Amino acid sequence: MTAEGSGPTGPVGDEERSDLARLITVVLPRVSAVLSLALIFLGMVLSFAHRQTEVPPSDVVRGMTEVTVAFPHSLPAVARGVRGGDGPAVVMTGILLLLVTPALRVAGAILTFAHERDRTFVLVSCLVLALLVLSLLVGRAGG
Amino acid sequence: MAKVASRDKASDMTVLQFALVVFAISVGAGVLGSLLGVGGGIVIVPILTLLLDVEIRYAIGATIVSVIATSIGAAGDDTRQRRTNLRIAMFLCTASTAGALTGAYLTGVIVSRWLYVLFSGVMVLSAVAMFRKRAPRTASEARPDRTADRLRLHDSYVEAPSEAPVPYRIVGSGLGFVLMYVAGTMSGLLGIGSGILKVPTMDLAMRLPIKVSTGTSNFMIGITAAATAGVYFARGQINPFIAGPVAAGVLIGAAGGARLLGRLHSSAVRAVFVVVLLWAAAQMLLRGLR
Repeated sequence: MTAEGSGPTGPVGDEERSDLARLITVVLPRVSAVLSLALIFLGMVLSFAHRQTEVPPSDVVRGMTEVTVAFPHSLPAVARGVRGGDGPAVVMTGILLLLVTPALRVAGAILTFAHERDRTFVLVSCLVLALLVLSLLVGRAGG
Repeated sequence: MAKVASRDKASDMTVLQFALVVFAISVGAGVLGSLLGVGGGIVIVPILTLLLDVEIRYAIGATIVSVIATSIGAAGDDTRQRRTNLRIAMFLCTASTAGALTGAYLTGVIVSRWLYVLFSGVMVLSAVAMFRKRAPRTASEARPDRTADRLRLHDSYVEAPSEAPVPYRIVGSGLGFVLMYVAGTMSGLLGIGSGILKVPTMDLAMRLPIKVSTGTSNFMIGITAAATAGVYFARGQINPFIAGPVAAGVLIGAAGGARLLGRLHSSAVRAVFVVVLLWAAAQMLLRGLR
């Protein structure tokens, strides 16, 4: 949106999106998706290359249908696993990349609206980000 | 939560077979999810738990991942064809996220059994209303909405074959905002997918074109799910051998679904949504009566 057209009642139909907006709205999710797919695929390949020789496959499947916490579920554990070339940890890294992407998109929206000098929507988007962070904090306290 | 002993069905499979089956199902769930602006949990949870005997805790963790993957996988085509209205998404996200927080707070305070039944009824009514309003509305029918004017929520989107922009105007943004708060509360309280309530709200209260409703919902559901994702991760409910194939399948499926959404006729999208809405209402009724 051009600076001239950004009055409160200005038309918004056919304005050119800035390069920044394009980068954030189109490129960010795509990069995240491709990178995440690659990590998940690599992690699965690593897992199968190792696991099937060590553990009978049916035991691993049984592990998925019962509650066992034999896979990394904290950031340090994932980081340790990735350094050791551990398949499940690599898969988890790909998943974690997905999980943080929506927050990055909201942060991106804030930048886009700031670039368009749209103060109302900078505030609205900041509120969304704040509520997102608040939900995370509340959830952690409750869980 | 009862611990379910593993049965023979799943144990007969090798891990690779299991992963491939989950992946294939997830591609389908991704197509349907991104087409309709829902996260695909109503497809994935029954299949994982009933068909593959996956523990419900892991199935829920995989669903959260599936919702976010739908949102991200659909982003490319949704944005290119301008089905995601970023302003409407942000405006409504304040309401739905605040609602989700309220719902999480109210879990334990309200006995939700009758709420399932009540809400299943609301969903059936929404389905009937959405089915009735199949004919596309012209912009001239729209009532004035000063909030939508001030926030500049009106926009246009692109229909795929012709690439022609289709302008639309928003009405009832105030009502939509309030209903989105209620929808957010219900999804937090009842643990149902948020898209299945977001799309009817945008469609019925604000009169968005159905493709813009689903495209905008695709953006919003990712944010709603991300708000709780960290908790599921920390609790160890995100199992890489389940959530990994789900994420990969849904990402690919959602990209295909978003492409398909551009080509399908709006009335077809609406019809499929109505069917899925009725299916979700039936599931919810069963949970209430059980």
